[in-house]
Amino acid sequence: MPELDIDHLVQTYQASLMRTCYLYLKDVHLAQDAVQETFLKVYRHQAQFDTACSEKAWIMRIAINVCKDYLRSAWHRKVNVVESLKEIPAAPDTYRNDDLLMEVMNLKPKYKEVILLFYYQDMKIKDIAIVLNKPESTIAVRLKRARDLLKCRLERLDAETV
Amino acid sequence: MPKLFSTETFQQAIDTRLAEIPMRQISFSQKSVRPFGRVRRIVAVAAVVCIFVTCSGVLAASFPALQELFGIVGEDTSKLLQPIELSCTDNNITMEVLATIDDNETSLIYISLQGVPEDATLLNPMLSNSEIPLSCTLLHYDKPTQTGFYCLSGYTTNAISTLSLQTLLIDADNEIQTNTGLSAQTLIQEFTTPQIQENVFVTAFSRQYAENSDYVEPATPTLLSPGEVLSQWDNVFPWADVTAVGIIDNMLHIQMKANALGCYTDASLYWLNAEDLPVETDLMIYEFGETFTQGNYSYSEYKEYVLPFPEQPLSELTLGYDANGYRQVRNGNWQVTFAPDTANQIIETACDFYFGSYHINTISVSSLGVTLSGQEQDSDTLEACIEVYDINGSLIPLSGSIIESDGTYISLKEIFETPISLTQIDCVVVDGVQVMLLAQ
Repeated sequence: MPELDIDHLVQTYQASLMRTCYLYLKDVHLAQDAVQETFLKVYRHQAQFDTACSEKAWIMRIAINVCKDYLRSAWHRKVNVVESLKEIPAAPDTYRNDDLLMEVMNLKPKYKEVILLFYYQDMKIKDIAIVLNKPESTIAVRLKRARDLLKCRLERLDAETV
Repeated sequence: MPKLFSTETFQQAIDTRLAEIPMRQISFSQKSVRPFGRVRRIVAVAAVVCIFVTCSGVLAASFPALQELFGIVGEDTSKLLQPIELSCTDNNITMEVLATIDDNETSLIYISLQGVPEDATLLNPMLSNSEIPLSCTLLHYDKPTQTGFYCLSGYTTNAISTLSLQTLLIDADNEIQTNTGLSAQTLIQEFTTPQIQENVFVTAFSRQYAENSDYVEPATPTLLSPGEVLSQWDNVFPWADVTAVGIIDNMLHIQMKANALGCYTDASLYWLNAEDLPVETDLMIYEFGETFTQGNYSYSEYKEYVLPFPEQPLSELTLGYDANGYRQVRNGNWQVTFAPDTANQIIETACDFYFGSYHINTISVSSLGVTLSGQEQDSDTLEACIEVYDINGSLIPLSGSIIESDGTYISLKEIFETPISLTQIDCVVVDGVQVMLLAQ
């Protein structure tokens, strides 16, 4: 079993993991907790790393499970995504992406996770099925529904703006 | 629109908008890392059977405490419990695991602690194969023998696991809205040029938000350099040793070093106005330094409170705080190892209910609660009014609920306040529709 270079994994995945967890949890501080807990679990359970799956899939699986635990927590509160996004500083010309991010954040977790893993983490359906422990057919159906939902909501937003 | 759904454009949209999202420094070159101070709670849990005793545990032939427990919970509930009768003693306190009950989803573990005061708080009792502390209810306290009887609840473990308790907190000390008498003006005059440290490895961070707060904390905070204990602050915050005070970027920083009791204190600092009322401001709490583990609880060496000055005349502001702590702590190592027993009987009945797009097709009842389960399609919440009646027509009190969902399967469990025999349960009523329990 090759030893994992955890610091390298942190360097490689922290930023994208933080953004994924933020969009999943809709809360910066909760996302920071989730990322820290994910790497802590990676560190503690590195002996259980299965080389049959990619290290990215393994880390994402841990992160998604951590996020799900947080969402199940009695302490999880309803978050206003507009207010949540305002907390994150950004260059003015990037605010045009807020509609997309807000709609992603407003998706149900089961749709949000497939969208984030497929489009943001650039993972194949086969790998997402491993991460989420679901059949590939389920992932494919969810991905289609998620894409349709997102497209429909964004089109509606566009129409309202016009 | 289709263009949006290319990986590249999607990634670009997220990466550019969230480029400045604050991230914590994470490094594994540290000796130990404390994984933040989030508190997680659960509503109820599962049962198990003791087979071994670790620590100084002994197998007891018969525990008078078990008989006492039966008297406390009543005859009907006693019949449902599985006696365990295992104990261990440390630091002159004996923990006896008396009985359990399990329905394969949740479990209850009944214990007694001999040699503890009535107001003892059990800090994070844990089962070894779960990361979630058990919730704890004091059922009865026997003053002559100084024995507390508790019910611990948590998710079922379905495997051998060790119940461990390592810290008891005693004599709660809650100070609410205490005025330190220190004015903002004095603090600003005295602590303007503090010694600072940058690139601190923060082991935990928490923040209390003021309404409409627009403050964004930096990814790498500037904190005070730890110094010697400032004895002039001994009477200001009795629960902690103050090691540095300073003003950085128009915010008051107060750094405290954890001491034996202070590490269990949960404190909040704020400004009090001329009417002695709290002024709403943000409060950031950074933890750093060495991480200590005390039983199942861990804490950092230093805690730094960062309190912005509000837009009010400084002469009107004084520093105030709330602090919830304890005056005594008893540490020990009380551990008993369990293995799960056969789960309690469950009656399962088919049904056909629709709540939004949830399709509930099974109702199961155990001595610990009633569970609705079925398929989830596209709804956000499952809201159903569930009532359970006993054979005398009385409503059985419920104490809370657990919802589990994996996106396609959903279950909603309502927990009974106390375990009840299945023979005493007559029917379940869901949104006014009575469901007969056929297995009876």
